[in-house]
Parts: sequence; C-alpha cells; structure tokens
Amino acid sequence: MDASKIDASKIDAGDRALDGDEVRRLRQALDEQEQRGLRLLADFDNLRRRSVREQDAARREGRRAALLPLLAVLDTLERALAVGSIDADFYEGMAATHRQFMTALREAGAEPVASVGQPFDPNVHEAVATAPSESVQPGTVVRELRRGWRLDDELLRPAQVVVAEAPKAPVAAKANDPWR
Amino acid sequence: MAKVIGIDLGTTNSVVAVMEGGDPLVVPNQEGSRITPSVVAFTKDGEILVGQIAKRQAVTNPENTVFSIKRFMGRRYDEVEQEIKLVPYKVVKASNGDVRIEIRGKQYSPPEISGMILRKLKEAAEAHLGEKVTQAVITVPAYFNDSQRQATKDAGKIAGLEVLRIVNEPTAAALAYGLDKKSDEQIAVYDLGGGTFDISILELGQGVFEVKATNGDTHLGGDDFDQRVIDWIADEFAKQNGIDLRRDRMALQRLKEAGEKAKIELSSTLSTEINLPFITADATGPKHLVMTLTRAKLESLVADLVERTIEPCRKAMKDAETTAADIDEVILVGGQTRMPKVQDTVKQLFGKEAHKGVNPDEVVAVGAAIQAGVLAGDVKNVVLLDVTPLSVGVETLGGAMTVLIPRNTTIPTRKSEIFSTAADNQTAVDIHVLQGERPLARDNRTLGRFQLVGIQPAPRGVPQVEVAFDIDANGILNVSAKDMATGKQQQITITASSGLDKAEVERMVREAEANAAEDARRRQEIELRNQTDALVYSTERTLAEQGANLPEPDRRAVEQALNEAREALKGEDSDKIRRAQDNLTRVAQTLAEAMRRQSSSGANGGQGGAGGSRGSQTDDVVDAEFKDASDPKS
Repeated sequence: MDASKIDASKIDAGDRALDGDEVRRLRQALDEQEQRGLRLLADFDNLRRRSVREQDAARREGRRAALLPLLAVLDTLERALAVGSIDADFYEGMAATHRQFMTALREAGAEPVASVGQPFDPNVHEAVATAPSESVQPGTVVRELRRGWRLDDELLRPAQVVVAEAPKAPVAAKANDPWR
Repeated sequence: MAKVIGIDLGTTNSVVAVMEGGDPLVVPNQEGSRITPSVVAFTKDGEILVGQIAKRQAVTNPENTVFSIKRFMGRRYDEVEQEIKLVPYKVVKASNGDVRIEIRGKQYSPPEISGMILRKLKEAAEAHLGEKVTQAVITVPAYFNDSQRQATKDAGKIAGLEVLRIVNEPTAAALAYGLDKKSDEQIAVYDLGGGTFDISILELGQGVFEVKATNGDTHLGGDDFDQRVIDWIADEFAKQNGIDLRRDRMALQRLKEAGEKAKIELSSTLSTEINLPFITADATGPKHLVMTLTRAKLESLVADLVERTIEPCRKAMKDAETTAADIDEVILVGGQTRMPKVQDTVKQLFGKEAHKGVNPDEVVAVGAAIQAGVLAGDVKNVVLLDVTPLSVGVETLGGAMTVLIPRNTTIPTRKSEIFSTAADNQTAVDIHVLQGERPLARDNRTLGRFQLVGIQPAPRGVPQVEVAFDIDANGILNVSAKDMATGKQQQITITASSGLDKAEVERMVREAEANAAEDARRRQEIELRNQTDALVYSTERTLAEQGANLPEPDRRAVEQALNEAREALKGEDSDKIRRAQDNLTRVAQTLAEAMRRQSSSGANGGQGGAGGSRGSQTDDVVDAEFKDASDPKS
C-alpha cells in the first residue's frame, strides 16, 4: 500500500512540466553531486595509492624494529673480540660466531656502512668527536666507534665516528658541549 | 582545495601535521622521523643541512651549526647576551640592534634560519600529500611578544609559506584535546620539553582562548634529566672501578644512549637494567657496566628538577588570580611529562588528573593542524560520514534483542534478515524496533513497533518474513517487514534515533558494559527456554505422527516428559527447565528409534525422523534462517 503511494507520487512529478527555476536548481544539485562523487573517487584513489605506500613503509619499519636492537648485541660481541682471549680455541669460536651474526644480518638485507678512510658524510655518519691528523685530509673518518648499518636503501643507524681535523686546531671535547 | 599545514616550531624539535579526512595526522620527514631537530648546519661546501643530518655533523662543525634559534627570534642583541654565551656559533649585532648569526662571514637573521627548518617541514608535507603547500599555521609560546610573533611570520614567508595564523602553543594543545567546544573554563598547560619549561593558564570563553598568565624556566627540560642519569651511572662506575667513563668519548656516547633509554623505560617499569659489557678496560682486563636503576632512585636523582617546576606554576596561578581549585582542565605537553613523577606532581599541584591520549611530543602540532583545517574550510569539503551511535534491531522469541545494524556502523547502510513465526498458524508478526546494546529487549529503548498481518496459516518456522533496516545519511531509520509468500509489506520511519544526545548514548553503552555478565546469563536462559520450547514442539509433532508405532510404556514416558517440560517452561527455574530438556531429549530417543525400526522395515524412510528435526532445533524458530535480502525466496 505504501509502495503504491510512492509510485503515484513519482508519476505525479513526471507529468508536471518543470519550470526554468526548477531545472536550474536540479541541474545545480546534480552538478554538486557529480563534484562530490568525483572528489570521493579521487580521495579513494589517493587513499589506495597511499595505502600501498604505507604498507610498504610499515613492512620496512617492522624489519627495522626487529633488526635495530640486535645491532647492540653485535657491538658487544665485537668489543669482546677486540679485547681478545688467551684461550685460542675459545677466541676462534667467538670469531666464528661473529661471522655468523654478520652473515645473518646480511641475509636479512642489512649492510654495514663504510666509514674509516671515507670522507665524513652526515647522511650515514654521526660525528662523536674530532681528532687532529697528520696523515689524512681533514674531514676524513679516522675511527669508527660504532658500526653503521643500512637496510636496503635506507639508513638503519648511522656509524658513530671520529673525524679528522687540521692538526693545529684545538683537540678533544669542548668544555661547553651542547651535544650531550 | 589546498591543504593548510600546522607546524610546531620548537626550540629543540619541530613537528608538522595536517588534517586528513577530518583527522589530524603527523607527517614524517624525508628520513622517516615524526620529529625534526630544529638544527641548521652550513657545510664548507656551501650546503645547508637541516634536522637530524645537521645534528650528526655538529661536532665537526660547531661554529656553523645553529640550534636553539628560537631563543633569538625577534629579539634585540642586548636582550639575549646570556643566551649568546651558551651557543658555539657566532651571534652578532645588526646595525638596527637586532640579532644576526654569522656563518662563514655571511650574516643570517633568525627568521632566515627558522625559515630553513620550516622549508624542510613544508617539503616533507608536500612529499606526503603529493601536492604543493603554500599556507600554514605556526605555533609560538604564549609569552612571545609582537616582534617575536612577527619574526615567526617572516620565517614562514621566507620558507614560501603564507602564515594564516600564529597560535599560542598552549592553545594548540587545548585544541588537540577538543577543549574549544567547552566554555567558561580555566585550563593549565604544563609543558616540559627537551630544554624549556612553560606553564600557561588559559581562560576559555565562548570558543575563544585568552592567556591569563605564563611562567616557566627557559633552561629546564628533559636533557637535564638525562644528564642526571648519566652522571649517576658514571659516578657509580667510578666508585666500583676507579675509572671515569666521562673521559672516554666512546664510553660516554654509550652512556648517554643507555641513560636516556633507562629514563624512558622507567616511565613504564619500576626497575631497569643498564647493561654495557666491555665498556672499558684497564691493566686488569675488560670492565663491564651492569647496574640496576629503580624508578625510586631515578626520582630521587631528579627530585629537585621536578620541584623547580612547582614555583612557576604557583606564580602563574597567582598572576592569573586563580587557584588550583578553579582550574578545570590540565594538559601535559612535552616528552618529559611521560614520567610518572612529573604526572604525580602536576596532579598534586592542581588536584586533578591531566588529559592524556595525545602524544605529548606531538600535541601542539596536532592542535595547529586542527586550527589549519578550520581555516582551510576542510570541514565543509569533507563528505561527513556519520556512524550509528547505538545498535538497532528487533525483538525475537523469548524477549531477546537481535541486532541488525551494530553500533559504529558507517551510514548510510542497509541490512535485512529473514525471520519466521513462533507458533503454528500464526497470521501476524510483531515488529518491535529496538535501540541499545543490551541482549534483552526490555533493557533497550523502543524506537517503534508495528504488525505485519495477513500471513497465511502454516506450521511455525515455515513463513518467511524479511525484515529490512535502512539508515539514510541523515540518520533516519526505515524499517520494513515483508511476507515473502504474499509480498505484503508494512513499514515504519523513525527519526528519533538522531534525538539521542551524546551523554545518553554513553550511558547506554556504559550500562551494557556494566551488565555484560548478568546479560549473558539471561541471554543463555532465553536460549535454553527457546531450545526447550522447540524440542517440545518437534517432539509433539513426531509423537502425533509416529506415536502409534511406539509401545505403550514408551509413549507414556514421552508424554510424561513432554508434560514436565511444558510445566517447567511456565516457570522461571532454569535448572528445572534444563533437567526437563535433558529428560525429554533422552526419552525422545526412543521415539527416534521406533521411527528407524519403522523405516528399515520397509516403509520408505519416513521423513528423516525426529532426530533430524531435533538437529535443527537449536536454530530456534524466530531467526530460523539467515538469508541475504537479494536471495529469492525458496
């Protein structure tokens, strides 16, 4: 019964002649709807594209978050190796463990950042100190305090390095060092 | 429509955010970080570095690495002589008395330096949005004077940004918590950042914030907290090993990182291990640093720092001519406010819990983005998609509520379901439309009810009635019921669902949560009752058809069990109903066996037997079938 009422009203509207004002109004309303529809489509398209990008970023962030804490363990292992051991067999075992760790990181897509002997590059190096050097150009990395790592084309963490400076300049940490 | 970005241009760090689809979103920079250090460096090759990269090279290039530029924005040289002593870069006096930074013989004004930071943030936003950005809202401390605000605007212009508005940082924080929707309130904003502490007292009139008073300490922040932890670790280690780690560049670096990490961890745990193996070595061999720092110890290390924030708060309240009791809202800004001791101190000071939820490092930028969104008219351009605040559905057998459209469904939406009759030869069904989160119809709100009549007489469960709910974009609910056999239809339109205010919706949701256990128990009771009822019904039918094939004692046992079940259903005793149901299930087994004997002795299989109909009993009669509306009826 209700349905028939609606039908009747539709027929009613269809029969009536539309005046100019109403045509204009309807056309404008249609325009607005079309604009809105287009905008919605555009928004959706942008969202879809961005969601692909964000998924990619999230995946990378996940790998990054998993790898980063492991690097500190590797640092410690390297420090231990640097100290050495009087037990040659034990030392050899630890050295092999270290190689295994490095291989595992490489398999996961991580690569060490080259530092010593390279010109200092703040994109991948973090300067922790400067040191006078007679043998290399100022601005060259002379020592690596902590190895830097790259994950694919992104920096996982910068290498912490000591950078050569011209020999005459004052050395060591400044008394007033804001970079604590 | 071009986007307007919101920028928190901080002393140590800056953050950029933008409104997207009606929500503020912090934009990560090109290096993937949500926070950009407010540092600008000039390399000897003439390159300008901004942010984390500038910070990394600072040690090699201290005279040409500019940080804390905000401290010099819009200031005259004579006003900032103390600040100048604290920075390693060269600060000079311009001919008009303003501050200039001299880098490799060239002079830069503070707005130029800030502009470089803003440009980086602008580019980050453009990369993220995929479109040009030309307009921004930038925040400044509430105490900034006209010349400092003008300098900030100039910085924006230099970066290619039209600054639509300069917003006070505490006001932005209040916006981020939506406090602008309130009125006649006093708000305290406690901002403990990396290097500065600010307290602001705001008064909110009709949507307008007025800064009543500000106070603070320009050299107190999270960095001081870190230093205390580092010193403690180093002192403890020196006591045990006689070695001062602060003299070893490499060890100090590790100490700083471990100290900050420990501080952060102690905001969520009571104790943390600082573990730095092979930290150094002496003649006796390698030394390991392993110590435990408790939250209590950390609190004692920084007690005086936290204490130092109290007096400025008191002064600010005094200046604002208010008291803690008159402060309605407290907001925390800055990473260091994550520390429980800081939160406790603030709570004691103002006698109330602070707002939480928005990241305190980002809350100012988020507020700036909200203001930017308002100025951009974003709200008008977004097709606002609303959600239903509460579930809607119909009452089904036993007084249960069957939800058709769950709460928080985005509207417009349409949902339909097929229902059936509860009794034999029932010719009308009641459609009782409900709104709410409780499983029992009587605990929910009635939106309306109507009857669909003229259903052709049939056994219960056979007629199919399609009930459709349709909520349009304006929240108007249309409910229709259609008899699939005859095509007869009845409907109702309900506009009342939009009449609920927020408090009422919240109350209904809260009640549903509070009564969840009791409701679940009652729902089970209804299900048990419905199951038993259906079992009685099907057993009766089978008995009527097959009773003659059953030995007299068995038949009497079934009848007796049926009577017991009917009797139990009249009462409210669940245990009694359950026992009766169990008993009936057991004796009905004999009926099923009788039918099997009957069918195996030749009589064409019967009709699947009582066992078959029992299998479908749990479906119960009302929501007998669940079909998509587009399915043609069978």
